[in-house]
Amino acid sequence: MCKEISLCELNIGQQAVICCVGNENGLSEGLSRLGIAPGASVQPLFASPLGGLRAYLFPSVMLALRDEDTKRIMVSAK
Amino acid sequence: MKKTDYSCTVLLAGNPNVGKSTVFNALTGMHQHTGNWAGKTVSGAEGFFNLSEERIRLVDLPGAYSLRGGSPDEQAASELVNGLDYQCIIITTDASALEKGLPLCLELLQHTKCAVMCLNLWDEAIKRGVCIDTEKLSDLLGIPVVVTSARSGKGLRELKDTLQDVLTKEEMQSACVTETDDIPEKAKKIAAVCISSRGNPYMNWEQRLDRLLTSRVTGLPMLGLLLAIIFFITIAGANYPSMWLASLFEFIGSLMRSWLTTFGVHEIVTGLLIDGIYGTLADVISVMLPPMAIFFPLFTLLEDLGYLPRAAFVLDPVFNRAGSGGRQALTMMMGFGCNACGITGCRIIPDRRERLIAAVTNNFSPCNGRFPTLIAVTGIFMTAKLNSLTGSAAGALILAAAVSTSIGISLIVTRLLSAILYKGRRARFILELPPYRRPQLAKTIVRSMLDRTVFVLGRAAAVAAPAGALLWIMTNVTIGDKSLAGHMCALLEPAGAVLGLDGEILTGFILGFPANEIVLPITLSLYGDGIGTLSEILTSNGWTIKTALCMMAFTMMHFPCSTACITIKKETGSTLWTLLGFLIPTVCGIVCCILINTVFSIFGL
Repeated sequence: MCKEISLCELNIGQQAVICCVGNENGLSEGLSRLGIAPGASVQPLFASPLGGLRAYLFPSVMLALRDEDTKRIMVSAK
Repeated sequence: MKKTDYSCTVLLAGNPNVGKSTVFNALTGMHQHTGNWAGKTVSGAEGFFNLSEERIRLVDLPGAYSLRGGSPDEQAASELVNGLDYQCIIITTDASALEKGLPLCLELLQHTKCAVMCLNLWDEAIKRGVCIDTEKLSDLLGIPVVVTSARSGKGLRELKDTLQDVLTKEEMQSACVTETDDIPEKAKKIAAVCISSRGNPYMNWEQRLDRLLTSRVTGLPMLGLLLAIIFFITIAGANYPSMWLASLFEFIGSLMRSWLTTFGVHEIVTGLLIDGIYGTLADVISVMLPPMAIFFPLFTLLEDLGYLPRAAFVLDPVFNRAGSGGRQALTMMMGFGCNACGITGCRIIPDRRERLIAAVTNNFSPCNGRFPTLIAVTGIFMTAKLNSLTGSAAGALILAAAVSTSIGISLIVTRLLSAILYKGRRARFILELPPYRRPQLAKTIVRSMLDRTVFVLGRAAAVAAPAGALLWIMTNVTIGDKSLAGHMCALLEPAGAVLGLDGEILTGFILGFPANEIVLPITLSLYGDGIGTLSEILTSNGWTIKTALCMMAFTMMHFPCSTACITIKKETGSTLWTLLGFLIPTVCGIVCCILINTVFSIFGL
């Protein structure tokens, strides 16, 4: 059963799988260039001290993404 | 380089942060040169090495995730792959991040079948517990795969041998990837088959270090501390070398002057050559070389460590509010070393509009050339009455406050420009946080110091020498009762008064357009042969606290130096944006000076 939430709602340390990525601003294109696409695992690691963006662990890369972008990435928590 | 000097060309491609430069340096040693200002590989550095009897030319492509990406690095890489005549490509990948590197690899294999995959950072991958079936990988890609740890020199022999085999092989294996393949899909499939274990991508010590550098409590203080340390080492460390260089140049200068006089060379020629050209050259080199040779190696060390993306991570929220991104913070930091380098550094910003904004606001970061002026003015007028220790501390605080104001204004300007250019639509922000790596301390420092020295000397020759000649002419050619420079000072006096400065200072800024380091020296020479300390000379020429404040404001906010202006034109390709880069800081500086002047007048100071 796939309960979809946006990536920015996922808690720190929780693991999830990407369901889909909205492509406004070429977000999904930018991510797929790094080998990240629906089906890839993701885990939020820590937040920036001033808020607004967090670091995420993907297969083979760690990325910082802003909340305004991650609310358009839908994931399903494991 | 004559074509006959090498028998074939090999490209070195790969993602950023995979140790590609280490592989490049390991293969080519010191037989290389970089073709750009900032030392970041953007316009194919090339080097040479020998493979049995043949001489190979190795071209280092800028790090790229994809040939179709929009960033300047990726476009440059794509242009080189499409435009250069090459025989083979070495595709470097981080063994711990194979999945990330496969898309580029597959794109490159669409261009050529003659390639070798170099799985670098292999020792790190083993430590993480990564498990890759290199034979299967080689089969699926259709090219040989070599594992290396370029840092420790392991695997380089095998890499060279494999390269030799591939270059001499007559027939290639059939292509593994065609024009129409879906590369992300294919990359995922290959990764799934070949990677049996990803190992631990985020080890405990990495977590602890990240927590120290980015947590709510320690993140910002650590950033402040690191920057403060860099500035302190740069300013304090450059002090004595600058003085020694100045004395050395003085000594050589007087020797040359006496030789010329002995040979009966006319006074005017001696003056022009020694006082004008050589004098300015000496000034520029002794002021700029030591701080640049300290600041940039330190900065590069932080970059090699992997810290800079964390700094961008911590500061992004501030820059996001200003309509930009955390990467602009890094370009501003580079600008503290040298604005031309900061502007070139804007290539790390993928979005074009953000890049333009970062380039034209870079001059709000006072460069190494301006620090001596700021420090001298602070020292004389603000802290002269305090004792040495309190004086230094107060001076540092005042300097920090001044720089912060300049940065604050730059953020406001960024916000305005962003609002005008973007009208609501904002670029995506994806920032890679690479694994922490121990930098190769000695090699990095030496290489960076050499780079910086070449840069400063080159700039001195190109810019300071002609400026020195012009200056000498301006101060020695007389029309009527004043020299040309004297006329200029008189002409600019009214404008100077409005700004809380004077004609000599403005002339200093204008004639100092080639290099910020010479603004104060020019101003002092225009004041005439004063005797006494700097403080006495300035005060006797009418300087007050108001003058000092306006001087600091205008030093921090005025047009970029000629080198920086040329760099803006080169990087943006637009005359309009170069003009904006020239005008924006100047206008802000003028407004600030007028404000300070007015406030002081109102309070009758």
